[in-house]
Amino acid sequence: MSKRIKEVLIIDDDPISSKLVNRFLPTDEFHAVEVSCISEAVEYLLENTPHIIFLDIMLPEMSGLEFQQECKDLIPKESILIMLSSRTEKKVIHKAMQNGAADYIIKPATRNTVMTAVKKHLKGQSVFSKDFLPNEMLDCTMTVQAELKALGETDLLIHSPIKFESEEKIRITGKVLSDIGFSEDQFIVNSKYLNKVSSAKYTGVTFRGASNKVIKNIRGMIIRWNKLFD
Amino acid sequence: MKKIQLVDDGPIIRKLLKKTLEKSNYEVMDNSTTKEFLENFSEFEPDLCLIDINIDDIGDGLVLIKAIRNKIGNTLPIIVISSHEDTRDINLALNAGANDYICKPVDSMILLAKVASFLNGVNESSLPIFNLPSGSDNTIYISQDLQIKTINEYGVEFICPDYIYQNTYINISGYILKLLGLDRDDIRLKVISTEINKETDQIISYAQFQEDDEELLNKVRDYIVNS
Repeated sequence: MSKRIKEVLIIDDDPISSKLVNRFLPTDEFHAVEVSCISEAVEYLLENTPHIIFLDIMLPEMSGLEFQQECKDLIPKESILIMLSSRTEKKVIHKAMQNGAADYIIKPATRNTVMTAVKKHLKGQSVFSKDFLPNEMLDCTMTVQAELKALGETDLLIHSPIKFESEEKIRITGKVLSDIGFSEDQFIVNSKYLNKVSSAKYTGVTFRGASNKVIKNIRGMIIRWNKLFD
Repeated sequence: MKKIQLVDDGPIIRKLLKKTLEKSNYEVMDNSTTKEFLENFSEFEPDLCLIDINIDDIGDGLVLIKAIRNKIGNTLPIIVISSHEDTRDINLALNAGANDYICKPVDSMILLAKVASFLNGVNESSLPIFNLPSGSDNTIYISQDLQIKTINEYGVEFICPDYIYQNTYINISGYILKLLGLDRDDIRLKVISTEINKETDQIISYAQFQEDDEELLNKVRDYIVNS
């Protein structure tokens, strides 16, 4: 099963109501499990962390509201809890929301009410996430592909998906550069060509510390290119 | 008139450099030793220094560069001139605080272009650039450091030094692979959004994992659920 599919737990003693909610959820996005009582729900939650839980209020062993309070630790923090009930009293709705429900749908549920609530709370975001504190953020390196557009004896012109700051030191590699004899830490961004090119994706880069061998190689290349154009 | 102070122990090259620079309307003070350079430095107040790294009276050029940096900070441009062509030597000088490095024999056109770019602003240096012929291998790779602040089932949110355009494919390597227990060099993601946090001035991007990378998606989910 693709991990893009979201798991849903439906806790409702009315099988028709459960089936209905289940049918509203597109199968290519959601995988729903229906349980008819709290003890089955507890069993499921001990093993699984669903993205969304639909919870009825009037249930045989224990009400949905009691379940919210008494099994607080069992309901995963990451899960979105949506109440599903025919009870319309403000007091009940208020209590359910106070106990941690994200939404409250009044029965009979329609495709519209179910999907609106689901989309509102998922918002394309993942339910499972981990934030790192400022001092534990993961130091990593990213690499993007770019293009070398032009070359001279002191500068390069590159086309890249990154918008650089002027005077910034950047690391560039690539066969065309290593063939010339460059090392990756020789490059400084300049603003020379900013007014001359039409796209912000073009960046002028000055290289520093080029050996005479490198400069000779660049000259050789430029002469060869000019011959190509003749 | 902009002032350039140069130090080189070879009398011929010193004369040559002085003449080349003076022809381009710079005022030049030339010294043959580090000692002489330092004695004249404060009074001459150069706008740029040209230092031969191989001078060896009271220490080498590297020591002189460090001394200048300690004394007046990073604003004064320093260009090193050296007969060493080795990448290691070049990096040594750049890391000591030099802004650029020119190898001997000095090409006067490049010297003047570099001097002009430091003294008159980068827009003034005017050596031409040439387009790569179409069809040639022009692929290059740019690497940047980043910090991942959030990881979720579908991607990561990270702080990066520069603005990355939407829909850019990036490869991330480093600690995240170890954390997730992945035995490979990098993971591939697509940048979905980049925003600038106005309070902290940080650039924050959100990038998504590849949908068909089942191994990665499984490892990410295991990690988040178990952490």
